Amino acid sequence: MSLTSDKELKKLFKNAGKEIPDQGFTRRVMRSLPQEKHSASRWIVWAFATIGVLTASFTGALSVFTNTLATFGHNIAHLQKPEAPTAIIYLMTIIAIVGYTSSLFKKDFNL
Amino acid sequence: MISKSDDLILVSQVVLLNSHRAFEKLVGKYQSSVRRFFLNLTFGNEALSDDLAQETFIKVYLHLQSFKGTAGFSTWLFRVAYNVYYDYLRNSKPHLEADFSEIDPYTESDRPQTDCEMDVYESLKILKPDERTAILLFYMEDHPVEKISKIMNCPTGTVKSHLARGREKLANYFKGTGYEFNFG
Repeated sequence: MSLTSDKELKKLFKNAGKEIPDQGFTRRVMRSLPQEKHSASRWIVWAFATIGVLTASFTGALSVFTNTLATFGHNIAHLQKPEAPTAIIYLMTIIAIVGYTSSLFKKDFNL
Repeated sequence: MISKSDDLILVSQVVLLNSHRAFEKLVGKYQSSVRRFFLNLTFGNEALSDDLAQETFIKVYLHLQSFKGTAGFSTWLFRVAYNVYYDYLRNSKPHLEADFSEIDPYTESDRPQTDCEMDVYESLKILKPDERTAILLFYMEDHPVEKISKIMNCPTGTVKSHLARGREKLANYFKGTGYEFNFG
């Protein structure tokens, strides 16, 4: 059979074009990616953080927040049992700081 | 199986959250077609085609923010691959075509080559780079002419011309070699 038609060419090329097994290719690509490229994600985090702080300071929420933390610190210093809302805010702050720090650590070390 | 909308979700995860896991999924999905494309463009040179494919994915990662989503992700990916191949051709000329012709895929490849693959590699050597690219994208990767024109950044008429000339050359080549199909 001579190779003249479109259909025959397509058949030949499809037959020759088999799936290529990954065999570690994806892993090699991922290893060779630059460590720090997309600044967009950090830019967004800082932009929203700034907006959040400004909004909180204008609405007075920031001073309530800092007063609550100060009260909590005072309670701890005088070995007094803190009120539940104060303890919750304090814990959330700790979790947020730990979470953000670990995400930075993860990015920097590409874990 | 990842759909086209999933592609967009993964792309946005990479751009906005710098998700390596999302990018890994994209590489895993498209590695075979991109490596196959380069493998045929280089007549079976596996090491070179893997290097070019790796360079393509790194460029995709670096420039993913410029992907607008008007064309599909795979169109954009093959456009990057096409540019990588032509950059390589430009930088390697005039030795490249001669070097490619001297490649023996039986010895250059870790993967067993079929007779059919060998026939295709040999036939592709008689085509010009543009004809070869258009033929591979159309017949092997099943891309429509409109998509190929976006990948090659030329009018659909030009793609059709490349395809017609390539088809004619291949038909003459296979007639001349008395090619017999045996698809088993």
